[in-house]
Amino acid sequence: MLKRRLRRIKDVWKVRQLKSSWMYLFNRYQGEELVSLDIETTSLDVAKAQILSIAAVVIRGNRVMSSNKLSVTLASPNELPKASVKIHKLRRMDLNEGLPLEEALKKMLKFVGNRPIVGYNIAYDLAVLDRHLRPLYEFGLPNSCVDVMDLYRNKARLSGGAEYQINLSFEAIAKTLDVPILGRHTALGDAITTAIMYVRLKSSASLS
Amino acid sequence: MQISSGFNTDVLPFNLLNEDERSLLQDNFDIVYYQASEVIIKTGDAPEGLYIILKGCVSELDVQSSDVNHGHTFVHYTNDDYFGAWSALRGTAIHDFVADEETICYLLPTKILLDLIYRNPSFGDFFNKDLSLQKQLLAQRGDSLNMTEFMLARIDSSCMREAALLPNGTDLEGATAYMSDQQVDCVLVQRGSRYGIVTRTDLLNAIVLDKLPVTTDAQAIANYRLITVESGDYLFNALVLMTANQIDRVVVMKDSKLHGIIDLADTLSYFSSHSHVVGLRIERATNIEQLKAAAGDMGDLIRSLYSQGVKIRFAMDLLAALNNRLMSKLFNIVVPESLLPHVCLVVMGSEGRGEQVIRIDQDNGLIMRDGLDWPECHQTLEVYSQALVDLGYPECPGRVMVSNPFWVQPISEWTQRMRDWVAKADSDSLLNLAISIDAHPVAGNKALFKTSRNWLLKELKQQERFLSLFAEVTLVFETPLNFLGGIRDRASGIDVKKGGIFPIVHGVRVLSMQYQVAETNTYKRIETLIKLGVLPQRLGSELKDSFSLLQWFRLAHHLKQQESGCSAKEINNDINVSALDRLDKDLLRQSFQVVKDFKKHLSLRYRLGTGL
Repeated sequence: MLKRRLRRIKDVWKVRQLKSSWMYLFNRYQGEELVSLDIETTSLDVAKAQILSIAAVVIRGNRVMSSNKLSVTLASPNELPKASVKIHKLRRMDLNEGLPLEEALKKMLKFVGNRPIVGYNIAYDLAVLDRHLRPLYEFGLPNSCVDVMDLYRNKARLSGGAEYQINLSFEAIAKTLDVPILGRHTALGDAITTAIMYVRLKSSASLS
Repeated sequence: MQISSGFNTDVLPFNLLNEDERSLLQDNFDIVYYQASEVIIKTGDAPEGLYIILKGCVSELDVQSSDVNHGHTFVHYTNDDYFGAWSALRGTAIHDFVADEETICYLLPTKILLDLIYRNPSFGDFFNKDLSLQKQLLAQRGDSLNMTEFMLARIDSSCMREAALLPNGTDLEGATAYMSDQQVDCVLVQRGSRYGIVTRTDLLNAIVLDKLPVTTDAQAIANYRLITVESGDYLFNALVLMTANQIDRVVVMKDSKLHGIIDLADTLSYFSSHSHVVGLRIERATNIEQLKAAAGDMGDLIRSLYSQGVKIRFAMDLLAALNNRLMSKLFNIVVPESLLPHVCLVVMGSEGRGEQVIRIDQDNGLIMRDGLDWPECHQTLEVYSQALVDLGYPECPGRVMVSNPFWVQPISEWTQRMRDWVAKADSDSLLNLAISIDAHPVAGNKALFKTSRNWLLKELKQQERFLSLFAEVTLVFETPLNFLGGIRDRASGIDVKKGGIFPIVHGVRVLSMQYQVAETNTYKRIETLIKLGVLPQRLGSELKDSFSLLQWFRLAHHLKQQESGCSAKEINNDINVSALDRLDKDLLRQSFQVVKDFKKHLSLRYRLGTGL
């Protein structure tokens, strides 16, 4: 995360020099909303992963604004490993009508704006997104981030759970918080579930 | 990929929508999270739209009557229910909607709802129909309440007769004349501050059988051991008393003053059940065959009590009284009369507490006088157990019955063994103790039982360490509630006995042991514990209600299983929650919540577990 901070400073410098129209992304966000973000990819290896779909949903207060959402499927990447198809269930044919990478990223940047991003293990998603963003825009996502995994870990610690006992898997967190899992391994489903987890973690005092 | 948003459009009324309308819906709902007791819609506000509960529970309250904190709750909504439609259409809410527990809802904005209703008339119809259905539902609930109200008639002047008090010094002749004059078949006499009763039968016996002169003072033949009830008590209790004591009338007292008399015939006119007929049959039986016929009648009685909506507690009391009469009668038939003063038959477990409605098993034992010489003991008791099986009391799977020599002991051995169990406190001992603590005498010499019980109460009082071990058993089975306070349903159903009834019974039992409450019935124990200040009033009455409700669910479930031809051994306690309607589900959920609170109470009191 420190590395990201340093990069962001460099990014600001670069964007200023370029007088990029995306400059506003770097402004401090003043509102009350957040955006829950999730992507599906072809691999868990950041260096190799191709983005298949991107979904985001706005959170305001105790409300997951699923009416205000983004869900884009990308055009088929060159390779589509069999192993990943099993997980996200996006076959080549499902991706035929997808958007080209550049357009999808543009949509995402517009949707997210400078609002803080919420995600589960968000570092991975950001790393993959940044890898694809940099060649096109010269910067990575500048938004501040909240990881529900960290939020959950802190809460669990506070309620006296020993570190090694805390199960941080997506399913385990959802189960403990009694949050229904909606469409696991679809970007939109995970984004909404993550958003509910966030709202749940923010509004209740402890993990009884 | 629409399913990914999680909104299930395949259920009513959303399956009335076509493809386009569904995607309109899918694109426009939000997901809202509420904490427990958060107000979702406030009376007078314009609701944002239609709420569909994804997880949680919401109640609809009337604020008109909410000056005293709690309004009148109309409806509880749980998973997959929706609410707010009417308020949304009307523009303002007429009730408060409050989250009972942490709740996640889908929210469909009013604009979209109106749009859908406009576009799809059958979808619109559904909402109108549903509203009238809800009103019907509420009306029906009211009806069944009246029914129970009727069964809960209380003793007042409307159902009792004035007690005819015989002037002091009246002789038998005068008493007879007085009775026919007043058209009564019993009179009361007063001797000092005590009252006695003289019935026609008493007069007849005195003059014809005992050949007493008609000038004898009526006071001499009166029976001074009156069976009384308090005015204001349930009429049902009077019936139970009469059944249990084989008498036809009870005296009503008010503030320890004579108030009136209730006659059996009067009570029966109130109850359409034929409980007393069953009782009479049991009384008249002279052999096992006749008892069997009477026992068969009890099955019908249970059904009629159940269908009339009699409170489970009264059904239990009545059935327990009848069961005890039956067992005692059988015992007197099987066991030679000369032995009766030297032995005491006790029923244990649920029967001992008087809480068995459907006969699941027989739990009984025999306490004998020390040094009793009875060589045929085992054969005779074998016959007794078998006869009970024939009467429809299945064998106890744990073999807690008199045909098992383990449960037939001289009193010194009986008490010594309990002492051993207390000292040992392993799981078998705790189980045996739990069974024996609830023992209740049915036949033979009851003094034998009382000796052992008094000893036990005194013995256990000081055993702090043991009581805490014993209390721990309450926590053995998990309460089937999930994190948000909803019912944790399983495909196999949830066990109401393990999840709810057992913790209440056992917890109350442990408290009763510590505070030397001699009652065995769970309701009476709770009432005594409240009186002693051991249980908070509120928790106590909630416990009683929850206990009734859980028992009622269990009975309903058992009757259903019986109807489908399950044998006594196959009958289980696993209730399929998803088959219950919303109101029942909600009641069940609240009962489990009370069980959970009670467990917490016990955990604090006995310092159980570590998590609390």
